[in-house]
This record gives sequence, structure tokens and C-alpha cells, in this order.
Amino acid sequence: MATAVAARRRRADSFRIHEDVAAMDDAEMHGKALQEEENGTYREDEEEVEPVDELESNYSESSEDEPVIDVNIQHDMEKLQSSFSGLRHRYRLIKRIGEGTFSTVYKAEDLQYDHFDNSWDFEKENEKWTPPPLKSFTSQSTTTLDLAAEDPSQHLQRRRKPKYVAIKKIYVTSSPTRILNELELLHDLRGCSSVCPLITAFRQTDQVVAILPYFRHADFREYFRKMTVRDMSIYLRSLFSALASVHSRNILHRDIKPTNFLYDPLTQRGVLVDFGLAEREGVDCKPCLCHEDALMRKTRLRNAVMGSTAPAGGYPKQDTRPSRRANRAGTRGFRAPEVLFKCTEQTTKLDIWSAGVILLTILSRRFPFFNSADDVEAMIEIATIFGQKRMKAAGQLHGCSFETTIPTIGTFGFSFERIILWSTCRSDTGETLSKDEKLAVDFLNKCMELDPSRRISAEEALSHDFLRMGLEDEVSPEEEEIDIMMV
Amino acid sequence: MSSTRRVPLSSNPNAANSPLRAPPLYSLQANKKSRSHAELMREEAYGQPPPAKRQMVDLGIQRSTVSPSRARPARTIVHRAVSKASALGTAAAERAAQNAPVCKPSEKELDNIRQWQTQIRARFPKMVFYFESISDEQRHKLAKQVTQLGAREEKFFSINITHVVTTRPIPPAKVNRDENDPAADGHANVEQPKTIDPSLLNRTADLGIPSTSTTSVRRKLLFDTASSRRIPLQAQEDTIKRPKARNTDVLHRAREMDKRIWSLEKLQKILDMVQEPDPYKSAVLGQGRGTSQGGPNSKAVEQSNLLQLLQNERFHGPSDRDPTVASKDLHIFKGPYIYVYDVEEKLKPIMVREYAKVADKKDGEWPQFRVASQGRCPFVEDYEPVDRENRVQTRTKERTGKAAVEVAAPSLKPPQVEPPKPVTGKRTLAEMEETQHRVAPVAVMTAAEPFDRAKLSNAPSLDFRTQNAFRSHAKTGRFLAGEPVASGVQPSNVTSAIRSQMISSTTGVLGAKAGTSKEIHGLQRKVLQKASTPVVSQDLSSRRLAEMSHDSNTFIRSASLSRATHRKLDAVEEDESAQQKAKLRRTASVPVPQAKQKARDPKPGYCENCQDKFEDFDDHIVSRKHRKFADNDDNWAQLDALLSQLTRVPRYQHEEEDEW
Repeated sequence: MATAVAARRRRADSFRIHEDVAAMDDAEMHGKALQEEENGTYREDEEEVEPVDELESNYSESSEDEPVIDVNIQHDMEKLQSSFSGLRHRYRLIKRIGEGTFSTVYKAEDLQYDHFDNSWDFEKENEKWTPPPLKSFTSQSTTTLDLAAEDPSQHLQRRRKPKYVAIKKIYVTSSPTRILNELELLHDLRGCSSVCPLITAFRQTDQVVAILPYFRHADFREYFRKMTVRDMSIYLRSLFSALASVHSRNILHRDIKPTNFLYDPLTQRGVLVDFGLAEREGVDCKPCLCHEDALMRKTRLRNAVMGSTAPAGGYPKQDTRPSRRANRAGTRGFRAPEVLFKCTEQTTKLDIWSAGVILLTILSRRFPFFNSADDVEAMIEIATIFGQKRMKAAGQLHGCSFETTIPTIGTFGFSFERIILWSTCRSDTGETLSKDEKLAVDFLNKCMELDPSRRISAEEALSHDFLRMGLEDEVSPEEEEIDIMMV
Repeated sequence: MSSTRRVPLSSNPNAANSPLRAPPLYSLQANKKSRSHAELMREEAYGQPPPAKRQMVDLGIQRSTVSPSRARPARTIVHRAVSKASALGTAAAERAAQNAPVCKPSEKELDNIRQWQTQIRARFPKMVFYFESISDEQRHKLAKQVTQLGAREEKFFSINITHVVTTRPIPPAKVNRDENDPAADGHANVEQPKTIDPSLLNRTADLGIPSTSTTSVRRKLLFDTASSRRIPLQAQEDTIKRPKARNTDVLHRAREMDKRIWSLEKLQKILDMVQEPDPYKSAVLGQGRGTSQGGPNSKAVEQSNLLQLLQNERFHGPSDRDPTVASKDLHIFKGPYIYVYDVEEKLKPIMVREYAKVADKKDGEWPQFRVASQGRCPFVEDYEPVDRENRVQTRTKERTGKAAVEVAAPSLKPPQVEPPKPVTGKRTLAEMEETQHRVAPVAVMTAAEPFDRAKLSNAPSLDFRTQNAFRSHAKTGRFLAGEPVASGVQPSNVTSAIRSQMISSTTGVLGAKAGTSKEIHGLQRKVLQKASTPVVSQDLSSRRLAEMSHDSNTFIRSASLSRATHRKLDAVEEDESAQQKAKLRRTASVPVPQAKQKARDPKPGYCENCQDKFEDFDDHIVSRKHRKFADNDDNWAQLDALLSQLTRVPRYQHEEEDEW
């Protein structure tokens, strides 16, 4: 009895923990934290004067209200540097730029940039080839590093411009399998356009560190309201080209959102980051009705409805049936309807939905567009837009019955056009959408299609008029493609 | 005089064996008239002594006073009557009891089954059913089934009906009209063939089909005997009284009208058996609820019936449920709800949540388009323009000007919200609370309030007002200490400890109340599964784990509770990130030592490698268990294989050996 009580208490504890984790873990929190960081809560290292900072000052990093680095962060950075023998001499940690559930990301200077092949660096084309440094590093093994690189600043001075990397410190509490998954997918995706490449990664006992290029970018909230339809097109073209290459390798990113698409409005370049939730399509899948053909689905649904014994208007309190299990990884407000319906056979199309949410956010000038404290609220929010009829059909695709009596969920919902007009306070003035906006809305409709099989694919999206906007009169698509490939 | 003494005994067949029951008076009489017993009986049939009494008399005569040799010739008609009702029945019961455990259908029974199936099928088209005290869905289903067999359902009780199907206890049968069988009055008045217990359905002859086969009669009687033993006196009295006071109850009226009254289980069983093509299975079906011998095993029958019923009702609630009465097993929606469930009903609902009923839908707690100023989420009510302005101002200096413009900008007017009300939602909320006689005026809410709220959620009578309270609490965080605080930032006097306790106390409530075991069960299963399939990467994630269980909460918690908690957690999330921010600000301005102290804030979490939660990250990662895992290269072999491909490629040939 006593043990049972203890066990119960323990369970309650672990339950609490999970709840906490859920709160933390929700990638939105991660995003929030990250944004919070970039929005000015982190500080420059007081000792450092960043040569490139005038560039960055256009961005979120400029906020001066907290100019002093947090002692905790500094402490953590020191710990990281000393935990890896030799790390100190290769990378100089500058500041923390993000913190998530599974990792902390620091900005660092790549001290030995010149010694390596830097094909990952899309900026290097702008630079001249530099001769090899006089000092040879061949003799340096990890043990001698400490002696050899007594003064890295000497090399630094020889360079015109310091090179920056992002150091992703993966928490030691993450399982090797998780780390392997992320790194493996990143490795597979090397060379993909608009996907953040992996420079290298290494491990010391349980501490794994991944080195990624540091990509200068602005906070989404800083620019999304100023974007013209043309800007949106460029932004999304970059995002969709990343998605196209990720999806062509049958990889689902699962966490598409502004925070994970680092975009620099100045250079109009973006990179897709954080493959921590990514997975391969078809892994851990069970057949779902949505993959059956329409006729088969209809028969099965009819049979199910015929044999139905469930009483309407209530649900069993004590339910011993197993629950439907499906991967739900993702960020609240960006989860595709099939994820909410717990489809057991999810596809790359779920990323397209999330990308559509980004477009809806930009078009409506509201961020976040979906509040979605949880999946139920997310479902209600989506249903508010799409209406009961379409939601019922969407649910049926995955063998779900969708019932609601919530009065604000209408039968037919609203068109995106109307929603965007309201959201931008134009519904009263009788204004209509511009031609460009209409094109964008058409594209949005194709991205935020409730049926994943009818949703546009990333590849198809790239040939949609909206994403090709302005391409004709500038460069040929091939050239653009090549250009993107270089990124 | 003597008769009054004996009447009650008529219900007890055993009384017949008792020598005490034979008073001398009758003994004498019997002695005298033993030869003309049949005549006597004929005379007395006109009723002077009640038949029951006479039976007793007769029995008494036989057993007590007459020697066996002499009594034998006396057993004439009376004996036949008695034997039918009592003596033989008792014997049969004994036999049946011996045979009871054997429930394998014999060839003969299979034949019977087949025969019965054809018979009942032939009868169905003549049947007209009236379903009484049966839930609509069930009625619908049954009607469909009986229609398939050719019968029909009548929505209203009328003379046309042949069968009444009910879930209520079936009233005892009327007094048997067969005056020629006096014993029946005493023994068979409770259970008539047409009203037999459903557990006897496996006996082919008992389905209201008159049968001349002796076995069936015997069985019937056997049952009658057995059940009549248990019938309390009162029931008999009711039966007697009934004709005088007309009962308007459908069942009683049906009884009066000689309609067949079947219990729901009986009909279901018949349907099951009729529709089962394999006679063997059908026979087993029939036996499923007890042995074919009925009577003596009726207890067992009832139990297995009960099991079956429980099984059926486990998911869908009792079939005879009155939908207007809240059931223990089924949560009936009262307010607006969203309910997404597996069509095939093999799985738990995918999501379910119920919201408080509101007069005006815009007061509803569920996400809906709200009045929100530009740039903000259209699903979140934009309560405090002052607050927002404040917040925007604190963000960045260069944006302040813009923010001011935003404040002046028109608000979003979604279609549901008719006039652009300048009244903030908050005031509405406060008004709402006042009307509900809630004490806490929003503005004077103190920092201690969260605890009260948490306690409140502990109260068994948790209603939706608490939810509002939570909500208002979450929103009033910004009004703490009487002045508007930038959104998400909270005064430093509310420490994170309070916050975290608030979370845990809430979850404690959940743990104590709303089906924790389920959640835990889910969690455990996840963990187990995790342990068994360590290769599946996604499953190993604590994120996934958390989400899964988080997920299961969604429908296991009572809607209001979960809602409240979500609200609160949201508030806390926001507050915590803000607090972090605040903390950073503070540490920036305070001397270093104090900041160092801060550095030792424990960081709780979950370690995927040890599959264990920890109180403090720094402590955990140096723990023996964790180090054991970390230092074992076998755990990292796969990752190392990949890492070896990820080394930086040296730029120059001579640097190839450099591994970094």
C-alpha cells in the first residue's frame, strides 16, 4: 500500500514534470525564448567590439537596454569552452543567441576559418582567395592545441573580417538517437538550397556540439508587417525552395515557423534551421484512411457509421480504449489539421500547411495568427475559419468524426480574403484586395488546404504564379535557381 | 382458522413434505373420504377452500396420515395436478442442478436450436414491438434489426403491439386463468412462460411458443418453482391487488392486455441467436449467459448477464440511461463543445472539450475572432490598450512612435462582434463575475490569489466560474499592485517559486482527481515502448513523450479543469519568460555576487538517457547514473560513426591530418 502511494506520488511528480516540459517543450516556447533573446535580452560581450555590428544594428540585436551579458550565460559559455579541450582555440564564444528545449545556441567566431574548406559559406564568394597562413597547423593534435594556439588573436588580426559560426550545444540529457537523427538529416541535406548546412559536429563523452554557419537575420516581427506582396513572394520562394529540397529527400521538417526560417530582408536570403523535430516520411507510420482511395474510404466510413453505438452528446468518462497515437511534434498554431486529427500517416504536406500559416500571418499582418494554447484550441481556431462542413470532411479523411456545437464555428466558415480584409481593417471601408494580394490568397488557399493530398507540394508551389512573381522580368528561373543553390 | 395458518405455506413446495402440516382434522377427513377423493375435489372446485389450501390439505393427507400402500390409490387427479406443479418440478430441479455445469450443446439441442431458429424466424413477421425505457440509439438499432427479420416497431403503445421490450423490471404475471390447474395459482402465478427470464432463452420451447414436449414443460415448471421460492410475499399480494387499482404503467397495461413483455437482454439474445447462422454457435450463445437449466443457476445467470451488460455499457453508458440525467459513466455535454472521435470507435476520442454555456457567444471561452488591434492575434481579445501601449513602448525605442500610431489605429471588427465596443473585455469579465457573486474584484487581486484559485480548483464542485476566475487572474497579472504592468512582466515580489508551486499544485489537483492513472498509464506505456524500441528516434524524444501525455490529458481531464489549467499554464509560461527577462535586467544592474547566487537556480528537467526526471540539471549530469551512460562509448557508437563523416575538410592538402 505504501509503495503504491509512493509510486502514485512519483507518477504525479513525473506527470508534473511532463507538464512542465510540455510547456517548455512546445516549440513555440522555444521560439519565444529565441525571439526574446534576439529581441534584446541577451547582451554583447562587454569586452568585445564586434566589427560587423554596424550591420547587425539594423536588426534585433541592436537593442541597447541590456548591454551587459548575463553572468549565468557567461558562466555557461566558460563551462562549454573548458569542457572541450581545444574548443577555445577554434571558436571564440561571443554570446548566446538562442535557447531551446534540447540545446543552446551561441554565436562564436570561427578562429580557424582559413584552414578549412568552407564550401558552406555562401558569403565567401565575395571574398578573395587568401594564401595559406604562414604557420602550419599540421602539427597540432588535440593535445598540443593548448600550447600551439597561445594567441589566436594574431591570426584574427591577419583577417579582414572575422567569420562567425553558430555553436549548437546539445544538452547532455538528449539521447544519442535524437542527436543522431538531427545530425544525420542535416548531413543528408547538405548542399540543399536554403537549408542551413552543418559545418561539423563533435562529441566529448555526452556533450555534443554542432557547428553551423552563423546566419545574420532579422526578427520576423520586425519586418513582417512591412512586407509588400513582392517581398512575401521572395520570402516564401526562399522558404519553399528549402522545403522542396527537404521534401525531395522525403524528410519532414515538422517545425516550420518564422523562428526556424532565418531571413535577412536586406539580402533577401533565408535559411531553414532546426531539424530537431524532423523525420523521414514513412518512418513510424501506420496506415491511415487518408491514404486509401476515396471509394474505399467511403465504404469504411459508412460501415463504421452503421455499426456505431456511441451515444450522441456525450463521451465516456472511463475510457479504456487505447488512444490514437501519432507524431504531434511541431509548434502550436502551426500544426496542420492532419496532425491535429492524429493522422497516422503524415506526409511532407504538413510543412506546407505551416508555411501557409506564415503567409496568412504576413497577409493579415497578425503574429501569431493562431493563438492555440493547445491542440483543441488550434482545432477550434482552424474550424472557425473553415467552418463545420469542411472540418467534418477533413476529419473523415482520417477516420475522425468532427462534432461541435460551438456557436462561433459556422457551417461554411470564412474565406481567406474576408479574413485578411478584416484583419487589416479594410472590411468596413469596402476596400478589396489588390491583384497581387489576390494572387497571394490563391496561393494561400492551396497551401492551407485541409486535405493533405490536395494540398500543393513544395515543388508545385515553386511554379505557382505567386512564387514566380517578379522572376520573369528579373532573371531567368534557372539563374535564380542556381543562385539559390549557392546559398 | 387452520387455513390461515397454512396459506403462506402454499408457496413453499417443501411444505408438502412436512408432517407437521397435517392437522388431525383433515387427517380424519382424509381417512374417511379417501376413496372418493376425486369427487370431493370436484365438489370443492367451486371454491369453498382456496385451491392452495386444498392442495396443502391433500398433500397433508397423503404424506402424514396415509400409509404408503394405502395412499397410492388415492393419488388420482389431485396427484396429477400436484405433480405438475410441485413434486415433479422439485425433482426436476434437483436433476437440473446436477446437470447444470454441463453446458455443451448436445446434438439434440442443436436440432432444437435449428428448429427454434426456423420457428422464431417464421414468427417474427407477425411481431409488433414496442420499445419501452430504451435509449433512442438503441431503439433505433433494435428496430433496424427486428425490421430485417420482418417484424415492425410501433412508436406508441397500442393494442396492435405483440411484444413490449423494456429495460425495467418486468412486473409479475397475472393470475393464471387456467382454473383447471389449481396448483398453478399457487406456484406459477409469478412467472408465466411468456415472461420468463431472458436467461432461459436458450431453452427453445420457452420463447412464447407453446410446446407440448414434456421436457419443456418440465423445465418451465422447474423454473417456476425455483423462482417462486424467491418471490416475496408482497409480490403476490401486489398481484392480487392489481386488478382493483388500475395501473397506468405501460408494463402493467401490457401485462393486462396479455402482451408479451421481454427484457431488452432477452430480445438481444434472441436476435443474436436468430442471426447466428451456425447452430452450434447459436447454442453456445444461448448458453453463454448461464446453463441451459436455468432455475437453480439463475444467480450465475444474472451475474454473467451483468458482466455482459457491463461490458457493453462500459463505453457507451447504460442503455437505459435517461439522457436528461447526468450519468456517472458518460459525460453529457451541457455547454458548447468540440468532440473529435474515431469513427470506428475503437480508440479513445481524439479530442474533446466543453465550454461553459454563455448567453452571448462572444463571452465564450473558446477561441473565436475577437476585437484585437492590428498586428495582434485575432483570436485573443485585446483587453488593455494602455497595457499594450506600455508594452510596445518598453520594447524598443525606435518603435514607440509607431506603437502610438497603432493605438490610434482602428480595431479589428470581426463579423461576430456586432458593434465596435470600446468597452474592454476585461470589464465585461468583471461584470460577469459580479453577477455571479464572486467576491474577488479584479483590480484588488493580490499575489496570494493564485493559491486560492488553485485551492478552488481542488474543490469537488469545480464549475466553469473558476475557469473565468483563472482567466481573469491570468489577465489581471498585468494589473498587479494597482498599476498596469507591461504584459508578461510581473513584479519581482511574486517569485518564481510561487509560480512553480502554482503549477505543481494544479497538476497535483489533476493527479488527485481526474483520472491520473490514465495519464500515468499513457506515460508509462510511452516509456515502456520507448525502452523497447530505442532505435525510433522520434519516440525517444522527451518532447514527444511530454506531448503524448499532454495530449492524453486533453480528454481525460474534466473540460473545465483542463481549460483552467491551460489558461494558467499559459499565464505562467508567459510570466516565466518575462520573468527571465526581468531577472536578466536585474542581474545586469546588481552587483555580481548576487547574480552568482542566482546562477544556482535549480534547473529541473528530464533526461532521456537515464529516462528519469531530475530536479537540477547540473546535479544530474554529474550523477553516477548519468556518467555511467555518458562514459560508455557503446551508447555513442552510432553517433560516432556519423560524426566521423562530419569532420571539417581542411582547406589545404598538408592539413589533412587535422581532425577539426
